[in-house]
Amino acid sequence: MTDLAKLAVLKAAIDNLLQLSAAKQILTLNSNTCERAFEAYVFCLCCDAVRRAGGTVILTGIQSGPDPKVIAFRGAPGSMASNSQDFVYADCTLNQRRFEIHVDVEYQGTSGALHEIDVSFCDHRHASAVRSTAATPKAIGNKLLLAFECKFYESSPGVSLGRTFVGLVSDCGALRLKGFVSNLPSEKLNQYLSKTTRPEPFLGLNPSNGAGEERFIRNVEQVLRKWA
Amino acid sequence: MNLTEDEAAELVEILIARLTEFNADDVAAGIEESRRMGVEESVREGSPRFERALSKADIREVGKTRRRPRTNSEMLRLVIDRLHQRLVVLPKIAQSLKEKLGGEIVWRVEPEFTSAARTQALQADVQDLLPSDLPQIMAAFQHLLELLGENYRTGASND
Repeated sequence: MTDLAKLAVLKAAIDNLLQLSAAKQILTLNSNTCERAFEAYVFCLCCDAVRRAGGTVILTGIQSGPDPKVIAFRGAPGSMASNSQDFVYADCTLNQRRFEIHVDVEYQGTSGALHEIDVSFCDHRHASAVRSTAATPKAIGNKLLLAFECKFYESSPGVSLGRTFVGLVSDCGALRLKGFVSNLPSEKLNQYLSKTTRPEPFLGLNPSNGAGEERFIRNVEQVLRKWA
Repeated sequence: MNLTEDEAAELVEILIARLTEFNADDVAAGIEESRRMGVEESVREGSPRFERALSKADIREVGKTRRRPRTNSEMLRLVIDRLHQRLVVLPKIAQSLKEKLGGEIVWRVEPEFTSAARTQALQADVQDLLPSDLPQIMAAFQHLLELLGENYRTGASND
């Protein structure tokens, strides 16, 4: 095949792909939708970890209660107590412990500043108090248990978001696990997060990476078993 | 298929032009951001520029990580990788959500914190990520990968 013919074949393959209406639909989605879907995916893996540890998980709508017909995640970070929509959380029990998994809610740090945490494990009693008072959960020991920053990268992962999350968790109490989760692997981010006090990196996590999913679930499961 | 740097540049240009044509703004912006970030690499002490340094002490003092621009082949790998994330990985995430959660899955906002204009951008349905002709996308993407060959397999971009 000549160089010109080779390029023509590749150009035709590109056009064939990008002219599909489904491809256009997915490529024109805004990044926010991708980010939220990725957070919901990490939430599901956390629920898997609870079950794997021998616990129970009941999806609960803040308005409708257990097993909501429509599972509504937050399209933007907000208050744990907000009931303007039937936002979902996972009501979990493991041995004698009861806790909840939330997506995209705000916590009050030790400094008093509010922080958005993508996926968080919160003590159930504390979360109930927050809902009944319309207050804010605290990011201190025994209240905020695990926290994950989730990022669906569209550009090359840099260290800036990792650095921001390091700052955020430094304003929290002693978490049982703090993790930085992304769809893409990144050597430099991995290197940045390699210091022992920094969040655990789970990079390149996606449904095509079975080993990555397994590592994530196993880590969360072990932390929960040790705690409960 | 072995591509020259010029051929890789031409394909990158075509891909970005197509993405821009149908307003895939966030994907195109992500690619441009990656281009801007370049590639971080370690500088080898034996390289000629180190020979010209004033002294061994000066050499020890300088940071050994630097940023260089991506080659056209690296840019093509990166664009293919980003298309893979959007066209293959994202629908798999949506499928995984449907399998694990069942039922109808949506994203909603608190109206009191969101303007009407912004609400549309923030609210979504999992079906938005699962268009009906998904198998055709997978087949067309796989075909493109096969034509490009081993050097352009997904996950090969240098991040």
